[in-house]
Amino acid sequence: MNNSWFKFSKRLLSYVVTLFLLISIIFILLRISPGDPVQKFISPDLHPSVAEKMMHEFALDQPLFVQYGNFIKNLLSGELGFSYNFRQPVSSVIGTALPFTLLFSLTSLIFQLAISISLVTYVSKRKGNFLDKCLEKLSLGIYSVPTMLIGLMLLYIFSMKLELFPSSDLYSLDYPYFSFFEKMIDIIWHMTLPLITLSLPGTLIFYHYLKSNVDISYRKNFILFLIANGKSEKEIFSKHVLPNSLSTLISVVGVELGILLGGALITETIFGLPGMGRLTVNAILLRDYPLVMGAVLISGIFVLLSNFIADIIKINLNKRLKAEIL
Amino acid sequence: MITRIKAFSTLILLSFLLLTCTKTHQKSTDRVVVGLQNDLETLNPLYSMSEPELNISELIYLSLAGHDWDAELGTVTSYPLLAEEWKWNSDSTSVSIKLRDDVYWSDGKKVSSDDVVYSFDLYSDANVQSRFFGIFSNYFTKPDLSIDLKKSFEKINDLELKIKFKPQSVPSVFDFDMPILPKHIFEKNDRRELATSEINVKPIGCGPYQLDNWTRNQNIRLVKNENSFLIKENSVKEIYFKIVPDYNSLLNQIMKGEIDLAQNIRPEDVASLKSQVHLQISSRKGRSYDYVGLNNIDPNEFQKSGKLSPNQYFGNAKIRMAVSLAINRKSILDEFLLGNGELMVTPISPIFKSEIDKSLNPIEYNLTKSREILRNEGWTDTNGDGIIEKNGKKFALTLNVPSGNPLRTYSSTIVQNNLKAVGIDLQIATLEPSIFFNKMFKKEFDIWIAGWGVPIPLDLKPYWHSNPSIGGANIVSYTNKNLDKILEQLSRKVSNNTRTELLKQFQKIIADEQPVSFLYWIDTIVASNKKIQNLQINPLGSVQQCWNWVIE
Repeated sequence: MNNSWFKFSKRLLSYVVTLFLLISIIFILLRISPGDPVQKFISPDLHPSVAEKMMHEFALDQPLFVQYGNFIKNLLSGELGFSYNFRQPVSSVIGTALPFTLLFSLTSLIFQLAISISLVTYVSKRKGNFLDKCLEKLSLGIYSVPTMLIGLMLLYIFSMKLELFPSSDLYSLDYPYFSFFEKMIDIIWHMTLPLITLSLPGTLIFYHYLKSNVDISYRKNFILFLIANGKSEKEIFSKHVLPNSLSTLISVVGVELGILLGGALITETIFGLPGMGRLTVNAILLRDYPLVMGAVLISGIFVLLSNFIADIIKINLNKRLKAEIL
Repeated sequence: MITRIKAFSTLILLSFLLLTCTKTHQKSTDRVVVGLQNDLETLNPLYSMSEPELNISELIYLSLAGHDWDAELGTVTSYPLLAEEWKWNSDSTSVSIKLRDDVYWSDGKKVSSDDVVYSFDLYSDANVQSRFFGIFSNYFTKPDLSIDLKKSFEKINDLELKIKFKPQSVPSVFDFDMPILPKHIFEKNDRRELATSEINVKPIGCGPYQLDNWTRNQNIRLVKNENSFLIKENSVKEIYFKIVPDYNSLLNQIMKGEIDLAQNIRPEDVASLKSQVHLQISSRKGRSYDYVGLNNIDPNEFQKSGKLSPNQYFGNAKIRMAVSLAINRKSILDEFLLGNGELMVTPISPIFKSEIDKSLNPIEYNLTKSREILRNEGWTDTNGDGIIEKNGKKFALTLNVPSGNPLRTYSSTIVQNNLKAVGIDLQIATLEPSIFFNKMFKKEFDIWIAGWGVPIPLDLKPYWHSNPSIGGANIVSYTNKNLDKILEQLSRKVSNNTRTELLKQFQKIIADEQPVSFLYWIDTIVASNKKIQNLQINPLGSVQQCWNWVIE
């Protein structure tokens, strides 16, 4: 037990060091890259001193190491600073985008997992049928189609031509007048196309991984032994093949979840959704340093956290992995 | 499995049925939806800078005066808004203003002359650093550029006040047309912290519309202020600004009728939008233009010592003229902008009908003439490699262009090919906008493509005066002492005839010396739903005087 706690603490410490390195590298890269956060204050319509004053307000006239020291000091006291662009604390700005991203990403991940596992379960019982062949051939192909293209095609077909779904936004203009149930339906209606856009490539790649693992598992000696012993196909699949095939998939899921939580920029932009991806990219383009740092920190925490959760699940599925992972 | 699919399909169908029922709530006749591609930063008039920010904050906060565009004369006219009337004294050095007696802030307090004085105090305060800071040169000011309130303002009573300007200044309505702010709300904040105050997102205004809700990166909902004197019974109830970052989605939504008004439509989409029966397409004539920047000074010398020594290529006006002659601007106008613009002559927009010199014509596309000028100036291709040289120096440069602007990317290729025909070798470098503009303002480039928007009323000094503290936007460092004198005379009290004559001289000098290669005026294409009546689309904007909008 003590040994486990020691290993766990070591793991935790490694996460803290990773995060520290991540934000330090991003801080330095941001400051040495060209571009100027006060660029928009340089204009024939504005007095030249406005830009200078802003440089001072944002403490950008301080040496780099002083700025870095202030950033770390603020971070340790739980302060992420003020967004130059939103003129609000970074934590409040992130607070407006994060809940959506969490909900959107987790829903998408659940869809991806549920659909891919269901498909593999269905196809494994009917090897070589039409769906199996189609998915085998198409999964990697569709995965390589850019998300933007998928989103625009879905918009064109289902929103523009068939007019079945709205083309953007999280909810209708009349949302405030809806009842609770109507609000729920409205959000589902609006989220259908973005969820398909975000989930389709992931679903297919999960399917591809899981299907390969299941095929490998079926070829293992202990499965052949069970088949020879007359165990039912259903029991073999659910009790032996599937659990053995999931561990590799879970690692992929951990990485995918981390990426999703960092924000789905393309989907958010096409469908006008207020998530972390759009927020981060806009912050980078506008050189909103505190907001970029805050967003990177949050994304970093989520990537590490999702990997950690994936590891825990893997250990629970296969106890032998405990020594190897922790 | 099949049973589950059936159950799931039924659930989806039921959901759609319910949703169809909810559609009965929609009151589209009471609403106009305006599409925006970016969210706003603030609704505080102290810091509103982008066009949507100005449009929206001016619906919430009223100014003493409003403006109209007289298309026939090509000039701005003003009318009283928050002020009931104003009267200039005989020598126009002071103006007496009487406020309307029926205007209230949305929290119920009456608008008074104290609010007016306080607003100007804030706008000019160095600690506040508003967008108007430093522009009150016609007022009596203190050394820190803030307005000397005692000398400049005289409060007569709660609804009347007098503004006094410096002798010899040339004040106009534009000196006092800033949005008026509620003193009792703003004074609760530390002035140094106004930029981050809650007022930026929760305004208390006195305008025809009030902020109902602002969901960041999603939408801004304004509702009509029933107590406003501007609001009529049939005024639009809600104006909804919808943020749609993706241009294709924006286009899709305006076609479907989900958005009623969108600006900056690309020329290639005009035909398909025109085919939609519910849409009308209008153009806001040239207030913005693109140009090929030709640095008149040596960028390297300037970076090293700050010295303004002539650029070895473009320090010579004749070479600049040769470049202008070699660029086929009409081909870009016809092929990319599909005619939605106008060839430039000088930086005075054709919208200012009474101020342009109609005798001047756009520079013709003439390669022979261009080559001749270059040859006469000593630039010839001696080694037959297709690139002209002078004193062993090749005419080979990097043409810098900001990314994300398809028109500038297209025109850079045309410019590159056109100049190649006269022996000038350009390599195109596309830079991210924040990097590009940072370098451009630091005068690091020899040649680049960028653009300007022209202010209303016309103000040429910041763009063409050679003194850097006056001509901050004279990026090419064009220097002409005669032109400086003309610009200084224009900012003094002069008769209309003298002004016209001075402007003619200005245009002649600029056309002859080509400080930059002027390309074209770009029309802003606006798509709007025909259901919106009384929509005014003119150089002042598209989202203005919304209180006059009526839904058919």
